[in-house]
Amino acid sequence: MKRHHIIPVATVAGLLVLWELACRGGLVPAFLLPAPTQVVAALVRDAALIASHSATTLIEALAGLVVGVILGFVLACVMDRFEVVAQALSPLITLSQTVPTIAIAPLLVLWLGYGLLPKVVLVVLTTFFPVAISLYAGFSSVDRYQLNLMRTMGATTAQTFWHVKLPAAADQFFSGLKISATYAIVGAVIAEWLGGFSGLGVYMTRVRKSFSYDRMFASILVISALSLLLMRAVDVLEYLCVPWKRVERKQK
Amino acid sequence: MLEARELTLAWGDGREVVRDVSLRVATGETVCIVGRSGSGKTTLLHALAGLTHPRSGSVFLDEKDITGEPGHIGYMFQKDLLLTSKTVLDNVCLPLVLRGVSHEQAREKALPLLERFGLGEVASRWPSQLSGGMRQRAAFARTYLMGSSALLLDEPFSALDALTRTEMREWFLSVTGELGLTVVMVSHDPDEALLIADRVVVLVGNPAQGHPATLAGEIDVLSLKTASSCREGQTFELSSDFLEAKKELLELLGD
Repeated sequence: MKRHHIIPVATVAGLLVLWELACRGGLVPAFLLPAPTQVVAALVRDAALIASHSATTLIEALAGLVVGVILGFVLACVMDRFEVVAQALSPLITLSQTVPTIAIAPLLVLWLGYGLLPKVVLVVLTTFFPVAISLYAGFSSVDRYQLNLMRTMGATTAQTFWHVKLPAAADQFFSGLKISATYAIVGAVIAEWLGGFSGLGVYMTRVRKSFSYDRMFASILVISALSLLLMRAVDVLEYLCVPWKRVERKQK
Repeated sequence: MLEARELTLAWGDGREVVRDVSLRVATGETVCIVGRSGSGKTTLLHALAGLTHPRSGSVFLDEKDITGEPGHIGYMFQKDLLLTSKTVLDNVCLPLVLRGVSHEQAREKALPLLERFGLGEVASRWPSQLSGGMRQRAAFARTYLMGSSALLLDEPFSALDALTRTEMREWFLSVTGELGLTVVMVSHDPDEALLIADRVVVLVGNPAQGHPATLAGEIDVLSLKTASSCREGQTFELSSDFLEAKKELLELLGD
């Protein structure tokens, strides 16, 4: 294992040991903070149930993320193509992110019911923003000489977009996508807290009411794992879609 | 033949950059525009490429009016501007692909050119894996594959170190001679201009201070090169004609 891997792993392991010792030594009451081993035991005990709830959350998050990314992508393209649209939409898009997710979720449940739709809509609302903003910034940062070069070669607007703008914005797009991926799981869970029949948020609400904090922590662990999984998936996607960056990184 | 007729160019704020410049470049000729930094050389090149509309005057390529119409003349910028997202081969193929040629056909056409330019072995590499000289050669190959009858080069060797610049200059001379290209090049280096060009035209002025640039004169380098080669039997760079021409050029520049 390389040094840059050892340090974070050792840090997390050390914190877990300290946490375990603090719980076992009675420094923190067990009903307030379960020991890591108790959390793992709860995870194993409820594995089937948690897996079923996780599947619901993952479906909501992925559906919302896909729609959010498409929406963000289209918005960024339109804003890049038509400056007047960028001027009109920029404040609205920013304003949409100042409203807390937790405040919108009950309204969505009220309007759209307790099914999958309000959760997906909430994930869309939280995930389109990072993609739209980062991609638009990527499009805007393209070297104007590159654009002039394309003009001298007689390129159309669509050709310039495809050959120059899109690849140039790939870095920013994937940075935004990583943020969106983490927001997706959290957004779905928040929507589930406020109403629903299945999902990690629903599971968390139930175990909180029964004061099963070990299971509560187990679900937090799963939420983190799912978020990391999605981020890793974005990394793989970036690796496949942007091969020239691999070479540039190696050279650095 | 490329011809600029009484071109007057202005910046966006209305200030004139270049005034009444006329230039005629014969087929197969290499003309170098020399001027100080900020004298409007690049602006003039932009106008020849159709990237900017002149305030007055016109640009003709082979008797066709191409004023303000990009896409007719190959333009190599100061920076190589290779797209980092494409391999060297795909960068060079780009002008063909943009014209609707299939990727396969474009690659078939570009590969022999890359071989000729000494880039055959690096065709599948990314631009970041090339040296400065290789990148410039790839950019030149791309400009050439635009297929236009004239090429514009904006200080193409200025970003290179002195040794590579000398190598590139020699390479450029052999390639332009071999391919019979019509070239308009911009430079602020008198030595480079005299060594590369058949004819040097001097642009003088300071547009930023309200003095639009005009053509101060020209030097017929080709006849000097021919004469010195016959008379002294040595390279132009070491001949007395070169020193005389350089003196004349510096005087035109106002040094």
